[in-house]
Amino acid sequence: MTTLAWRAIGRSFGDTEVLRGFELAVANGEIVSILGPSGCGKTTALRIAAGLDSADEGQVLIGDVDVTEWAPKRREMGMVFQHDGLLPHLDVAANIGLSLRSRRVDRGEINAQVSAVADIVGCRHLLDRRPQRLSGGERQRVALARALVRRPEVLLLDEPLSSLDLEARTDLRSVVVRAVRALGTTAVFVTHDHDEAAEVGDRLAVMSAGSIAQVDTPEALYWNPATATMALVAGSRSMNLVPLNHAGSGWRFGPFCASVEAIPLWGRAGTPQARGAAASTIGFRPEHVEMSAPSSGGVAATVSHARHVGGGQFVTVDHRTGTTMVRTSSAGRWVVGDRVSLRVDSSLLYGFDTNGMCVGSPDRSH
Amino acid sequence: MECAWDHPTGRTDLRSNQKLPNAGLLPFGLGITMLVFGPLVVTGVLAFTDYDAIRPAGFVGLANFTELWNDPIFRIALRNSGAHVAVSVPLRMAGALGLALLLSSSSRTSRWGRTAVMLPTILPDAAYALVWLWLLNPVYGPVNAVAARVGAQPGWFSDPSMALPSMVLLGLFQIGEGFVICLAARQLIPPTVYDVAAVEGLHAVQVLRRITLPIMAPTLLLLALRDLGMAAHNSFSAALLITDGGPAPYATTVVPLFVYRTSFEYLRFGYGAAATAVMLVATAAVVVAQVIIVRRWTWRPSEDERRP
Repeated sequence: MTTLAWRAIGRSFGDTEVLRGFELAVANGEIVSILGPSGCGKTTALRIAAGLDSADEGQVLIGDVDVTEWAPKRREMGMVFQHDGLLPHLDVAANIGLSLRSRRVDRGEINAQVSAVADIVGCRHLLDRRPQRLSGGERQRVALARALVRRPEVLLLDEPLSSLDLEARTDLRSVVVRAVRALGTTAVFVTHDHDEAAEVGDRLAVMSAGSIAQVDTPEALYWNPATATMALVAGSRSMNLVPLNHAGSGWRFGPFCASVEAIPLWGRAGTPQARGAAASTIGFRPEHVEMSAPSSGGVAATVSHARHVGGGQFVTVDHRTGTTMVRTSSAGRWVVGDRVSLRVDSSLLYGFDTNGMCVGSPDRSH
Repeated sequence: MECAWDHPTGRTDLRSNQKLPNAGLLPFGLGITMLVFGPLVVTGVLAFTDYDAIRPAGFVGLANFTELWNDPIFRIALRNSGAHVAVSVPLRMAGALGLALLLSSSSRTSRWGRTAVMLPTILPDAAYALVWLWLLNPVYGPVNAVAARVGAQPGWFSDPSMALPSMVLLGLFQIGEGFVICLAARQLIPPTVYDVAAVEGLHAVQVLRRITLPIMAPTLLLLALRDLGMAAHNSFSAALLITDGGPAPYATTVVPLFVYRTSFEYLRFGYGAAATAVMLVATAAVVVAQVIIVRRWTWRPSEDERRP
């Protein structure tokens, strides 16, 4: 049982600065998901933790020990890669037991350990097969078992699910979580998929420009994003972002108008006027827009695109100031061309200043 | 339900398209019939005759083989060839593999190194032999000039006990072909495999023994088989161009040279064919033995992939 921390890690490849002041601490037995787009440096951060790449500056700590200069072997971490890296000439059991065999562990002991970890990961029935005969999902299960067989205190998972089909991916997410919990391992899970990150991780660490922009639980990240970028990342559907303009006695954002009093969300921290003025952009999530048949009072709009998602619909509507994305529950069945009326609950608005920093977010009691 | 892409007519089209590649194999088939299978059959038949290119061939039964059995020169040739192959093939393989592993990175040094390894292989055999004749010349060669400083004066091709080892040495630098194949096989191994090895704590020898060599084994087997032929080829041109089978008595007379002399200098084509047949059988035996040995510790992709 231990903790893992990156301290002010910097890493460049040639002129490209991949990591800059990368800081992240993972608590004992915790799973942290690092979320970020492809090429943002997630994998580099993980490889530096494993010792497969070296940092230009900064430290990696396991517990209180500075392991920055240690060889990968000495760090005793487990790692699962995007490509499974299974050896084609060995059967599954031999692949899983590879590290034990190289440490000259007794053969009976190896078999016992391999069986035990295969039970945890759910690949017991595959033990005598060759990797070539396994599906992608099965191969990653085996790779997970191989990483866990030594019972490492820290497990690093580098996009292990991203090359799998949806079914295998959904399946393996719970396998990863169950296995890691069962062994009490401290784990870091890297992915570019928000849903995956939220499902696997206790906390989400969102990367931006080579460092961690925000670390929080998926729920906290959804309700309290630090910046507009975080707001776009957290939550599986992008947020509508529109400029906030002063209009007569009230405010105008996108197609919506509101009185000063109707924007109460940042009233908690100051006067509505002062806080409202600080926000230059208003954000509202697609699921917080209410859409109904045309009626007075709402904003008139026309459906320009609609697709079925889960139990509801994801709809794009056109109106006089542009387009808005709406996530509906199962109630409405909208088709392209439908005339609709939009309303937004002003208690569920996010405010961002000119630098994209969040200056107000919904009161979570709503 | 039938899907569009496995509709019966679609399959027929695919099959008729298959005829074209088959037709494309025809020239190669013709060539291999005329250059390999034809001569093979002719050799097989000639081995039981006393054909000398002057009189018509007469059937002599197993006479050629009983004569070979009692021919001291053929025995020497057989022993020389066996020794040459036994020493040369493992050394050439080790050289090609070792250099490929050392030079598999993409650094500038590696790129120059790869070119250097290839160079001796692309030289014509005759030029290559002449370079060695000069290098190892006992009177004015640079190697002996250096050796003289420490009091040694090796007679590379003139000392009967050194001539065959010198021929092996000469062949050790023409490993470009095997080198390129090893290099390609090494670079096909996914980098993740080595990341896994590093994280799992395998040290260099374990990585080589448990990962690199087994994954490359099918390639290495193929290469070893190929090199058997290459070693025979190398020994022939060197023996013909540098030592002429000598120094006395027959220190570098290898089977290919024995066959060449018997057939084309003494015009005993029947006898030469019998010697060739013995060489072929011996080579086949070694090939089969190698395949059996390597199959026990290797992985064959085809086998696993063919299973449903």
